[in-house]
Amino acid sequence: MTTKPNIIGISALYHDAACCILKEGQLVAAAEEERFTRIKFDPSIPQHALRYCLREAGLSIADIDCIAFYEDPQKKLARQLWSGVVNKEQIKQEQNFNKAEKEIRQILGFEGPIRYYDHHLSHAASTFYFSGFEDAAIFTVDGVGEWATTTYGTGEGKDINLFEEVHFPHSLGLLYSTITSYLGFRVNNGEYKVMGLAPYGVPKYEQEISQLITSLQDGQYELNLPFFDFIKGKRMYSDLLPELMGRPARKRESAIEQFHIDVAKSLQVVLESILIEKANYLYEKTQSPNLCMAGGVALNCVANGKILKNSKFEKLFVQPASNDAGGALGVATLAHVDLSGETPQKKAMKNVYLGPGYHSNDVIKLLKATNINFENYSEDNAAFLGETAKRLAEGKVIGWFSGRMEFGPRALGGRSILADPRNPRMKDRINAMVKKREGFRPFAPSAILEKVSEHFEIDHPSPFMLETCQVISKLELPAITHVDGSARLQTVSEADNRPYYLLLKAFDALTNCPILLNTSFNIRGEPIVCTPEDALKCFITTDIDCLSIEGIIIDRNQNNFDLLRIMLLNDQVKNSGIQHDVYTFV
Amino acid sequence: MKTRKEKANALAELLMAHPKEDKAIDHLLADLQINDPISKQNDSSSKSFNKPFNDSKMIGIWEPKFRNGQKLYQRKREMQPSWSFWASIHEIPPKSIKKRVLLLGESVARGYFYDPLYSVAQELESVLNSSGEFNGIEVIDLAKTSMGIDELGLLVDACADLNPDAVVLFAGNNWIAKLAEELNEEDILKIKKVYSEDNFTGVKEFLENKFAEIIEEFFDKVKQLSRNERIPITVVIPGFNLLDWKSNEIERIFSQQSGRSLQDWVHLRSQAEQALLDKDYQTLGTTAEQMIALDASNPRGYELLATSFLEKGQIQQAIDCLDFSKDTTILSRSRKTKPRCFKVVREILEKEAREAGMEIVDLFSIFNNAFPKSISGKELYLDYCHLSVKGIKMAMRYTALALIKGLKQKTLDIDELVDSPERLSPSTEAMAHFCAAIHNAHYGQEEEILFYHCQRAVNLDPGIAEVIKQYIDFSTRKTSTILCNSFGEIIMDGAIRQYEGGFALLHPRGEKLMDIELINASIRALQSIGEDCEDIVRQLRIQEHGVNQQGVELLESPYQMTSYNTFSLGKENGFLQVRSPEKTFYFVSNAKEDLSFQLVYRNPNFKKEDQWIKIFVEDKSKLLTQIKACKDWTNHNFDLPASQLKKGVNQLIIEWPCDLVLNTNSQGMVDEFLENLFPVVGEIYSLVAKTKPIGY
Ligand SMILES: [Fe+2]
Repeated sequence: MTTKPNIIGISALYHDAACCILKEGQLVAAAEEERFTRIKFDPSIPQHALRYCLREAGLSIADIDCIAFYEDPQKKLARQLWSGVVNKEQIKQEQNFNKAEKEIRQILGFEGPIRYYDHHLSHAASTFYFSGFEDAAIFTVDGVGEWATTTYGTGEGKDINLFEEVHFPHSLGLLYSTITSYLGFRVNNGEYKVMGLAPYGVPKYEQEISQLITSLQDGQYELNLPFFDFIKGKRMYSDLLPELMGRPARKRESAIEQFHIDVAKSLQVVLESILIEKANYLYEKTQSPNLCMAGGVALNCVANGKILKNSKFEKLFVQPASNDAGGALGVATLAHVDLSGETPQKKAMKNVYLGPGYHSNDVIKLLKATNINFENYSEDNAAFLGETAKRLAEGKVIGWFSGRMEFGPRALGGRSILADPRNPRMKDRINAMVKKREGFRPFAPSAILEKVSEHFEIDHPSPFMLETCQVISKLELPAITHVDGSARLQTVSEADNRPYYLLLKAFDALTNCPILLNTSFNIRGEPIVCTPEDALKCFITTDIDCLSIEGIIIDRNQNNFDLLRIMLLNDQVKNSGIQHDVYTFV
Repeated sequence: MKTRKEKANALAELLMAHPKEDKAIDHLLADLQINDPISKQNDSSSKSFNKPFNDSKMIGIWEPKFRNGQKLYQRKREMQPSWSFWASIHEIPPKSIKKRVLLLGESVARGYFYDPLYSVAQELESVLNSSGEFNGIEVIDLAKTSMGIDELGLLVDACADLNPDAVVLFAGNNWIAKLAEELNEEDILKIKKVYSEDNFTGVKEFLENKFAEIIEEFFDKVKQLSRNERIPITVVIPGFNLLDWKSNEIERIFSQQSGRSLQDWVHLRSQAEQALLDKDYQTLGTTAEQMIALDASNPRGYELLATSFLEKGQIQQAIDCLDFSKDTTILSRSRKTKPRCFKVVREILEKEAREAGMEIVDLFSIFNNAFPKSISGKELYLDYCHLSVKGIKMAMRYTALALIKGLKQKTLDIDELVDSPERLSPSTEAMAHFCAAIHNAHYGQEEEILFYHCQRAVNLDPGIAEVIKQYIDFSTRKTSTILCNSFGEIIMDGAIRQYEGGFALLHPRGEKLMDIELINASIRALQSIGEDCEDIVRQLRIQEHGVNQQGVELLESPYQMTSYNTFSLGKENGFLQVRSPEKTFYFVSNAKEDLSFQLVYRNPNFKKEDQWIKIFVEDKSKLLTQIKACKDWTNHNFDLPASQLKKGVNQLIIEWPCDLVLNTNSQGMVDEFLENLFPVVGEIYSLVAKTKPIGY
């Protein structure tokens, strides 16, 4: 190949389908399929995300040299056969067990070469190749891929070597999901709620939870299988688990009691201790000062911080899209290395604004069709930021839609809901108006990078909201501070996200507070908004005070949304996608 | 010995291999104890769970209640989401001294496009009361929009509890859905076999036999009601808008069989259409017959042949032809084919009702006899099967006649019945016609019938112009209809509630149409009453859809979808599949800048080298460029100078080579069968139009 290849990376057909494009080695676009179909966690082969990526890259399907898929279909099938989740009738009827190939050919229409890489290798690549480290130790932990659930490896230059794996059914991710299910939350969705509950608890049940898992030699560990029942794919835990815990499982939507909170804390403690132990093992094996992490469990930022503190690793990089969506990034880079012989990306990933962006004119065209009153500051950015900051300072909750959409599960100032973090009522307000969720968890803060050390105990940038740190601010910040005094921080620099940075500065100028509360711009059960229309619909059907969108401000109190709201609520497709009571293996 | 994991790995490898080694697979399956599922559980129970009122005590959405010791029926609150499908009656009171007639049926029996301002039940009650034959008589409206055959069966079972003196059954349009539901793998295998031996005729016969069984089974319930409860039953057999409801482009897709070529058919079709233009009905007839010989499942041949018969005054032959054309949809090409009463439904209903001694009102015959020199069409129908006021009134007079016979054993002549005093306001009638225009447009009818309904609307009530202008506004905008101010206003003042409360105007996500023909027809109709909005619409189209420097993807719905009809397969694909010899794209230009197009296409079934794809602008006389057919995705860019553009909507027509060799890689029996029957002629991944920078 004379020029560098154009590669599409895909993760799909399991949890979070996503697609990215490496245009001659440059990561120019990436997005989750759910954002386009509006079905949360949509696992479908990402035809809409692919169309977007091609358009963003200015390429056509005919220009693509290779599609890389983030899993090995044969190994995954073997694991499914082993588990007994497929029966003979299904096997006899199926002509082609390679669903990925079938759908890439038929639905995406791609006729060129397809490359498959192991699920955990994809995770590993998604973190190492984007870390900026010349060499590093690699640690991936999730529910399950094909067989592997945890891997240990090294990265050096363009080479990744995973030297040890823990195999299904032994899985830290599935341990976490099992307790999540026992605590009455949805699997694949409620794990972060359990993590959020933990700081409020006491690890009273550490002993019980410890009985569920045994650490073995090297990187290995084992689940105590009689307590689990997920192998057959019907439910997560056996009757022995409630017996061990001394309480029946919590029913969904019922009250959360101290017991549940203490279980969450105990789980967190057990998880941290085994992760720290295995990270130390990894350090012993690799002796590298740098650690790269990915996989669903790597989204547990509390644990990540503890790992860094309690091991000899000096630096940690966590792929911001550590869930399966991020596998698309990893697999595309793997294919690039194989096809071109070199790594596509030398520097650390700077930001995740890889999704679609829109122009002020698109928004104005949209609004002109409606009867919505709005103020157009698209010609005067300073006024736009000033007006938005003023509203924030007045205690208003703002829908903030700016630039390209984020890739990965976190809203980082592209599609965010923002508010004043000093306001003691803000947490409850936002929970009631948009999130309709359990009110115990505080929200996350974004802060201007230069001023961050005055308010948080941190000495380095945290652009992806993947770390927690202690709040040391003189300001009272109740809406973003956990009970243990910590916060899950995003630092914002001018280079990463200029509009958001300038907004923070404008807010700081008015209030002497360089911090905003930042939560994702979506209604409960729906994906983060993607287009101006999505944002408008979300704004109208919730109680957000104001929408700031590409130089335009819409105030709720300048409008009457009664009719639109009723119509939109009636029309809403009650399609919140895949809701699991059990981890799906098929 | 191998571990279970090793065996699973080995089995996975075998299963992924081509070809498969069945013996080794079976061995490992047994070894791994992978067996058949224990039972195919709860299949039937989960199905009936979906049926909203499978509660023997319920009658539709109404549940029994007792007041002062008397039983009455009230709408059940839990059923509120389905209330709008039924008549807006909160309570069905206990029977009074009045005679009671129940009207059971589908949307036709509701009075679609008039409901809730006027209904079929209301008309029937009025004719009966005006007849002077009864000392008080009431008609209870138990018709439901989109009523299926199973649901109707439940209603038949339950309705005797309302103590009717007579029951009218006015249904049969929606029953094909049940046939599709009942087909199993074995049937599909048979269909494939029959098709290969006996073509469409055999398949049609096979399906009709199966369909007949379904109808007979249903009718047993009707007979039971009549026998057990001694209730006289009148069966109204629906008619069909033979003259003015045409097949759409999807229903006209050529069905390929070995040895019969799409190319020949395309050639015949253009010959026939030329003969039609030339008014050469002899040639039209013979060419249409050849088209039928080539593809008996295709409605287009029958429609053209019917025109030739009609012009020659052979009315009965024309009716038979159109009746057959209507029934070709039994071999479903479109997933949105509109309801209709198949001939087999008519025949079974007629036979069963006659044998059971029930009264029959055969609208198919009555309507066709009403026009001795022509065929019933737009005068009686607003679309495929929903009736105009005139149609409803005629149908209900005959129904009243049958009821009088059933209830009073008295045979009257139709002329002895006085007209009902029911009169609709001009605005209600006008709105029904405008809604009909929208409905006709959204399901693929041609501009002239759209214009007819728009014209009728503005003539009946010039005041409807305001609603039409609002419709034009939101339909032309890119913004989702639900967010548009002009839509909100229509909903607020309730102007269009005759069309499913106005909500039938909403579109699925990403499927908004530009309604070009409908809006053009509306503009013409408005012009006829002195309102000219042509320039305004042109400006709005340029503002909303005009091709610009960023580029417009012509695969988006406003630029290539002209109706909601879609082919049975392929909707899930991430690209456009074309199964007709040509495909038209619409784009909007200010005619000032030159345009460039970026096309990404392939021809998966193409046969040989040097076949050409032709691209025309505006009509088939203006060839813009031609490009080589290609099996793999190919990028092709071409320009279009401003001098060839109109200000406003322009068309780009892509004509595909039709000499095919089948190369399907589809999986699954049904898909494979349909892919082979209706082959893809071309695929487009993307077609982007951009303005060229000035001075370029
Ligand atoms: Fe994973």
